[in-house]
Amino acid sequence: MSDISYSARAAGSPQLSGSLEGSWQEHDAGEIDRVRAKAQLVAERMKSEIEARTRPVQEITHELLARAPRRTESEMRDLLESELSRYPTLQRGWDGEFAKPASPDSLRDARRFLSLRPADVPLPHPELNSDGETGFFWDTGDLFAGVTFEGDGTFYFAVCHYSRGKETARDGAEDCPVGSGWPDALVGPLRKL
Amino acid sequence: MPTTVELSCRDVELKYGNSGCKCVHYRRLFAPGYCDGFSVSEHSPGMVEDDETLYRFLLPEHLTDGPLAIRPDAFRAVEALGLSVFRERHVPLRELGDRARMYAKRRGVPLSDLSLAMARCGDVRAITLSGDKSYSVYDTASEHSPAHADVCRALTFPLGTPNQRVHFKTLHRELARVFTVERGFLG
Repeated sequence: MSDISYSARAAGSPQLSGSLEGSWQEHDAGEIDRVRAKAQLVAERMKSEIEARTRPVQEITHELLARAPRRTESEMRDLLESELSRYPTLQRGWDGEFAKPASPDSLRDARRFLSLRPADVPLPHPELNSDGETGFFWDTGDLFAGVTFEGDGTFYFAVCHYSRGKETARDGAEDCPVGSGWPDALVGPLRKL
Repeated sequence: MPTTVELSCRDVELKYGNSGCKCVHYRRLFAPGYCDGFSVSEHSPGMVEDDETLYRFLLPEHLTDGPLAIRPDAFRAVEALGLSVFRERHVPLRELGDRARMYAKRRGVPLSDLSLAMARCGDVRAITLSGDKSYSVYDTASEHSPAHADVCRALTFPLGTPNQRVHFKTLHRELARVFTVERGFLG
């Protein structure tokens, strides 16, 4: 099922061309031209960059992640709170026709889990998926860890180690009770960040 | 017989294409990657080739601030619904701005909020888990959307395999890694 099928059309189809054009009703011609030109320019540049790659994309991403500056604890805390507060405001369909709003139970479990964070583990990035589940993740290139809360008082997590973009080890578990705190298999790698 | 197989892949799309869980049925009925080799829609210009560029619009909720901009679970639709993408080869880039405007309007967000993600189809299909092919890309075109395609998780585990969600979570991260993102590309 497509969540963007409204916008595609057969080349030259006057019927659907109309629906695309119709989305511009409140814009003047100059603005329409500006957006069209910019979109095309950006897309052509991105496409050229992708086609010009001589190395695996995973290797490139790994290097970017490894070089990325880290946010401070205070900045991460602000980011986390801002995101977690925003999730309940998203409506059904926020990420396509079938996307569910944030589950209050999942969000509750995520906040509880966060409150049990060992002091020497860095704060995570938050995320919300289209099933309405809240999660957290860390990603440094060499290490990825992710936790998802399904809203039933449990969570599952994955920890992956990488070298030059290739996975070297994976760990994780499912159905972990939120109240039991952070599993060693998760905390151990994160303490080294 | 190849003809029978091709019809069977199309049958899945015809029967479950609008069900909200097409990926589940592709996984249930075919080996990983099998239907990548066939066109599954009569409205499609043909099966999606590995050297094609795929694109998709993203919302701020899909992104984080780091260099790996896409959040690992942003492409959760690969589990059931199918992750909608467009085939650049069959959609003129000059129409991209119009499509972006429509996408933003449908979701009630300003155009400046949209980001653009692109990936090479072959990079998506090359993602493996322990050597097993993990994702498929199907040419799920409709009459009015000939360039539409869906990415689905193709990999399955035998019933009772422990920690399946753990493995799928790492796969979601792998998928996010092969997309290049331009944030707020119309801002």
